[in-house]
Amino acid sequence: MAPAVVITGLGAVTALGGDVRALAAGLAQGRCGIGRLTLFAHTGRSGVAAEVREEANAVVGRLPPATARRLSRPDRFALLAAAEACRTAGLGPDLGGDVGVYVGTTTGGMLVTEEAYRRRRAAEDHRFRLSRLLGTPLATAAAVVSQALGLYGPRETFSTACSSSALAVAMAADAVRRGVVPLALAVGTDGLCRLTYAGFDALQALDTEPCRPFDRDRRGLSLGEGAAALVLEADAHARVRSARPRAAVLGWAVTGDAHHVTAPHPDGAGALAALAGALAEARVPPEAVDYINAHGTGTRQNDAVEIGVLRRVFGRRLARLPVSSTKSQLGHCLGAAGAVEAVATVLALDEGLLPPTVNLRHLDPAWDDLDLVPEAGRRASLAVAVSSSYGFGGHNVSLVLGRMAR
Amino acid sequence: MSVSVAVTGLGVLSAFGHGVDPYWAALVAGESGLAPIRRFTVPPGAGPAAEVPAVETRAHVRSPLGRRIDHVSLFALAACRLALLDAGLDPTDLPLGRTGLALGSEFGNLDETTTFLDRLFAHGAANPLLFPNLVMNAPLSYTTIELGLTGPSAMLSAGEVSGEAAVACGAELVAEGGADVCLAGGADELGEVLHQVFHEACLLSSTPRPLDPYADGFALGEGAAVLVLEPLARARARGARVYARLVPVAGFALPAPVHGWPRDSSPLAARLAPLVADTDAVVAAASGEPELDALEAAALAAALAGRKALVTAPRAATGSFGAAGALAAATAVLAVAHDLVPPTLGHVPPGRHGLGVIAGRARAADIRVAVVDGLARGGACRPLRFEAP
Amino acid sequence: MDRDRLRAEVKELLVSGLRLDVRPADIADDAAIFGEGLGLDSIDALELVVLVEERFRVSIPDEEVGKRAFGSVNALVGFILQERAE
Repeated sequence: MAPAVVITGLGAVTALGGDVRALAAGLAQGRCGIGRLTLFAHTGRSGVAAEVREEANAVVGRLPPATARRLSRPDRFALLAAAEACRTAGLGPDLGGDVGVYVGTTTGGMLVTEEAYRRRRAAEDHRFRLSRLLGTPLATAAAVVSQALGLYGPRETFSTACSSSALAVAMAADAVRRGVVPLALAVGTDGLCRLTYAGFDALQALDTEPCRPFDRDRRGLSLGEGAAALVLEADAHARVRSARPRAAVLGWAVTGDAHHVTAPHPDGAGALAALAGALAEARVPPEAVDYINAHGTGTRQNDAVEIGVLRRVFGRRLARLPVSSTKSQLGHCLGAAGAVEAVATVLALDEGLLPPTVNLRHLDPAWDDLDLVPEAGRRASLAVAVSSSYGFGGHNVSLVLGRMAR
Repeated sequence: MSVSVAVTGLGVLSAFGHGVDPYWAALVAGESGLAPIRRFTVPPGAGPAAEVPAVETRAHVRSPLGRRIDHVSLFALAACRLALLDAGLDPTDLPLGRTGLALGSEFGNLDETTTFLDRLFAHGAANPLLFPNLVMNAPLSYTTIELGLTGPSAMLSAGEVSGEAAVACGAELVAEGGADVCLAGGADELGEVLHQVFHEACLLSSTPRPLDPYADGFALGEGAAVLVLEPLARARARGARVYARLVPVAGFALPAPVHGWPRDSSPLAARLAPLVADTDAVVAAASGEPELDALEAAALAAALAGRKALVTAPRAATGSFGAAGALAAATAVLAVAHDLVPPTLGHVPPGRHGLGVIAGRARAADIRVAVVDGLARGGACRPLRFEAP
Repeated sequence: MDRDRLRAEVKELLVSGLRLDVRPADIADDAAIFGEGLGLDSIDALELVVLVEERFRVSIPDEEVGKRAFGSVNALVGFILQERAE
């Protein structure tokens, strides 16, 4: 029988603060991390984003100082979150060789590359230096985490748009379950950049105000940035080293829509297959689920399709099943979203606190029977939760997480 | 419980043309895919590169959306279609929900990314048509849409081992019962900006000499390769030709600079030793880049400890690019299937450390096991192991 | 600018800007641009707004105006001429 996979360490760098404690406090208070975009000039429709305010707490680890100084924002986020996850999992600085590193990201150091390219176009810089392009290969974040923390197991980088790091969590859990690695670190990271900001704005997918998932007046998503990390290991492995599991990864499934490069399938067929598949793999009947951390972007299409899928899987019980979107507080962190939301879901299970959907002032009348946890979070005893992520091109990942028996 | 994984089809786009036959024929004949760059204007003195002959969009794209497809996605899609054809599988007959897809790319659609930025910087306006093409998983999106695949899929980006990483991911999917068929491979394109950057960094050579003491740089290339993977039992049951078995081995990482090659070859040698203990052929990562070649030659020589394995480095002929490992995987598969190891262009024996590098003419030998060692900057290693069925 | 030349220019812009796999002359003057025929979707509409605004120096401020302007090639030509006249 395959071993149970447990989560023993968490790390997060988000618009709500530089660590998991700040994230947990922000979620509990229903704080919205979305504000004015300041990182770069943008002349489109929208001007808000959930930016990370960087603190002077950079992790260097084993990196040479020259490398550490030049890390891109998302690489710094990833390293901070990974170091926090390892620390809270009780893993010392000399982990040895077997820890796998599974990263999800979409644009890596694109902001640096954009600036270098702009300077070259404007003839401010006569050439486009290799060092400026080197942030772009998406494998960089995984190399930074691996080299800084001395993690020399398998190293993988997944890039499936908004489901990237949900996939990284699933693949890390898979590697632990199959015994490929005793310990795996799953990381999601992304930084705001012109490419994604201008791109989503050109698709008219950005709300001009902080996003309002499930609201009658929702007009799109708000972009965010940050990183999150989770240490995964076999239950027995955690017990031997007396690490306290915060939650268990019970199941996961990955599917494709085969429908459209940006729009979700109108019937949500792929999302439904991912949710049903993950529950089946976890051997969890729909009635056992206590909380859904929704993809909940705040676009008209996503929220409608997603609620439709939930209605089909949970039927009338959905009225009593809390569903919330932490993107209302953290923005849509794209490649980091899956990992950030997995951490938020673990916190909900472990600390018994339902995170709210903030900015939800006028519930869409089609959903007035549902519990979308508007505005304020609340205490609740949760045993099983689901976190789903849906990416461009119709890439769907659902994760089923469970509270540890106390 | 894991099952044996069979390679039953290959789809290759290379400088030698479209399809696995022109690829293998040219590689075995010792032809070079390098030629003066034609797609864009290069600075004076720039050397040759390996360009894929134009791929006709209409030959591979059926959906109305497909007209917007980018080069890298088209490469990936075309390689998938060619691989299915080679495997004798009708795309309309695939078990769509049980067909997996794992693709790898290092830079993705960098070319249209700069086009997108040009308009953004010039007019402050972004192109909504282009944006969906710029996400790294665009090849995954277009391929699943075109082929109707709804099963598990993954896009991987692992620098120089992007191709190997995707092939390994696909193999695990099939071995663990997650898919009945899986298309696995990678694609990267040669773009003007990328070429300029490598040219200005003085990393390129007109005459790449892999594993040769006089190596002075590599040549850029582009292309795609996709393997059709199935459970061996399923392949046998449908009477498919089985090129080779793909035996999953774990990836690993080594201490290295974040953007550089590992400086010490002995940890690599120690990790490669069990992998090459019974290997007949090694498809090397060497490209003519002196640092990489020195590392790989020293590690392989130490790992082989005097055993003679036939070593070949196809990047001198196909050019170097992020997903070139997918072509290396196809090369290893074909070496096992045909008991033949193609020569390494530009290499003059004796090479480094007395390695048995095949030079000049292809070598016929009983190849029961072929290994792709799979090395990347930043210290990631993603080896692949193929065995005779 | 005369209507025929403008019509040809609009068709040329549709084909090159949206990467259509048809010849400009094959686009019908009165067929709906966003109907079944050309296989265009909402992303094409967004890009067409940018292209038309940039090329013909007109403004398509909202969906309402867009729906009217993109009714057909003839409708778009009429819209451009009317905007310019104002």
